Amino acid sequence: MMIELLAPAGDLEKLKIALMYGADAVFIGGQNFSLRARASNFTLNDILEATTFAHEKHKKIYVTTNIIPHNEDLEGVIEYLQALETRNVDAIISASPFIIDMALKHTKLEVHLSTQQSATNSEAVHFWHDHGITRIVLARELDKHQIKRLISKTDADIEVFIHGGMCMSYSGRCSLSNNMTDRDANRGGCAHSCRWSYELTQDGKSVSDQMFSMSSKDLEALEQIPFLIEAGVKSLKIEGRMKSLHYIATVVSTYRRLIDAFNQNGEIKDFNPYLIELQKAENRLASHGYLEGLPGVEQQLYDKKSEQPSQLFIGLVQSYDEKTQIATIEQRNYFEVGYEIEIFHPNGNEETFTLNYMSDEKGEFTQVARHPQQILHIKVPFPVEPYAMLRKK
Amino acid sequence: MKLLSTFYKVEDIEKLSVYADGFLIGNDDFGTRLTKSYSTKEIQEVLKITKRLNKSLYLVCNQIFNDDQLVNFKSWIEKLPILEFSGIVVADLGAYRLLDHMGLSELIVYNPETLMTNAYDFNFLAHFNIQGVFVAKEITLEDVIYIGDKKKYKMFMIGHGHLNMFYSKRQLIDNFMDFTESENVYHNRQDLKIVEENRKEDPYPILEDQAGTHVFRSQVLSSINHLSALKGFVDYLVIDSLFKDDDYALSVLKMYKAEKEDLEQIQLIKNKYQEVWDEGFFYKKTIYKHKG
Repeated sequence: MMIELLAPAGDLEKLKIALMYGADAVFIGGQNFSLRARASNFTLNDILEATTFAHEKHKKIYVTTNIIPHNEDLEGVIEYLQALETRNVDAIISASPFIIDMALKHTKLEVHLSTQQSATNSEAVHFWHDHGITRIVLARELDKHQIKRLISKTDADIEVFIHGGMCMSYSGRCSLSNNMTDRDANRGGCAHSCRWSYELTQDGKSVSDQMFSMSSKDLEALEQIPFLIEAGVKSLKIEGRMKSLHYIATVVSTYRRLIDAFNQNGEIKDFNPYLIELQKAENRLASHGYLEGLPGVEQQLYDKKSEQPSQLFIGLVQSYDEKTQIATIEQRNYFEVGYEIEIFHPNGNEETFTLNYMSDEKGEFTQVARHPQQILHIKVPFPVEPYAMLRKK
Repeated sequence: MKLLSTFYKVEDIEKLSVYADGFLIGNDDFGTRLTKSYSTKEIQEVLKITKRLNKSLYLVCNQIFNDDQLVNFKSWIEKLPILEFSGIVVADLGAYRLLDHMGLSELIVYNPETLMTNAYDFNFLAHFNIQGVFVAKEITLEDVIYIGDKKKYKMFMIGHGHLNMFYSKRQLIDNFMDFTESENVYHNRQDLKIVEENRKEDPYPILEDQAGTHVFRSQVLSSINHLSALKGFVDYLVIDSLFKDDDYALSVLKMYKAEKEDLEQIQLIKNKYQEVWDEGFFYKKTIYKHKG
């Protein structure tokens, strides 16, 4: 089996982008029983549209039902799981034994174990596999050698995080947010209190004039991908259901090309082009997490200013008229006639041109694209397809 | 309802035994957030003492393990007179499965800290013949009682102490000391706190031990006012004296044993240890979904 590239999506548009830019499967949150409550979660109708779109492309949709439920949250679980089954969902991702057992008992849904259960060893993997779970999403706290040895001991499919935000604690074992903000981290309300700045004190006195933080750099595992493929990992997971369209397209496309290149050539001689590509989407510093061993200071974030929103993504192609060479696009960031623009195609290719003609919806020439989501017509000297992205060079 | 307590000094066990029904002990190769890491020899000595005093002794092995650590854990368990312990507290289902295969299921007490938040999940190991499970700390008193009413094995609960609210495998203080280019003289110290700019009244105890870094609630959970409600459901109530001392454990145990809120004594304790008591999540529902 080819390794799966699994991407996140917070809405239907992002889901389609993820699949078009190279993901083999996408995980999404429904409107019930899912973490990431602030992600724009999917209705059952959306989920049906998602699975239909994905299955036409022979790709898969997984739905997260990964909260740690309280007594009051159990009602409606069976009905919801059955509704997911009728929407042709390929698997659910869960942590609660109740949700897992109800899925196994009342549906034919495949069940994947969420990282919220913090599976870090082969015994825990055996436990859940024996329980009827086909795939285990490992905790992030393992290095690549530990992952490889673990895989050699199990028949369960193993999924590993390769990119995105890192929970600083063992996932699921943290209640900082519950305590500090009353928002339940394990029921979708995490306030990311671990990313705040603190003063570290001893006997009431500060031990440093610098601020302490538990914040981590994001995970980025480009250089570990060949090892993980050869280790027998079944699915490589990108995190970030709340990330932007451009982020998802760029990250998915980069890993897609890397995986394909490795599968074709058996090696990656130079990771730099992939890294440069990823940096077009990154707005947080990144590192390899636990994959090379216990993270040290170089994996920590002590400077909040490291988060810089990217202004590269300036538009999304809706259609293209080959006769007139006019593309209809939706504006996403400020740009002007005269800019050098890169077209980022869903197949990962990039082409560059200089913008010399742009008109608004009324057909009137405009020099500047300044309104978010404004529909514009621009001249592009080569064919572009829907969902191709425009980047400022 | 039996009272279990942590402790700092072996010589204090006898006086604590007047009020405690049993004790928790661990070694930092396998346990975490311990008052003290006891050597194998010390653990065996304490086992003899608790046997003589006719008290329970629970072995705390609540780290989350990788495969290599599980191998070491198995060897260590095999070296101990394990059947003489009252139970083994684990936080990891891998550790549970290992012990189960060693024929020790009846000793297992599962404590995954945050995960046991409903009656079904609390009981999901019932057909594996384990001894009991710790109920989550972040649920209401009503939920605790509801789960207790439906329990299929013994219910354990942290009844008093600074509740842990964060467990990272990373050595976060060591990393910070690297960042500030200072020597880390703070590893395993129990006098550190972190203070958030907007919550200066709530300094949170922080502990870096061999297993990682842990952050605790600022206030001390007290369930002294709810013992009559809890005792019908909770089998073992834990008094956690981490960050305090054995005098603290003694004072608190005495009050819990008497099942009586002694306001004067409570004030003395609060003043001496400069601490605030509250009722944790007993009456505080967390927000399921954030709006906005």
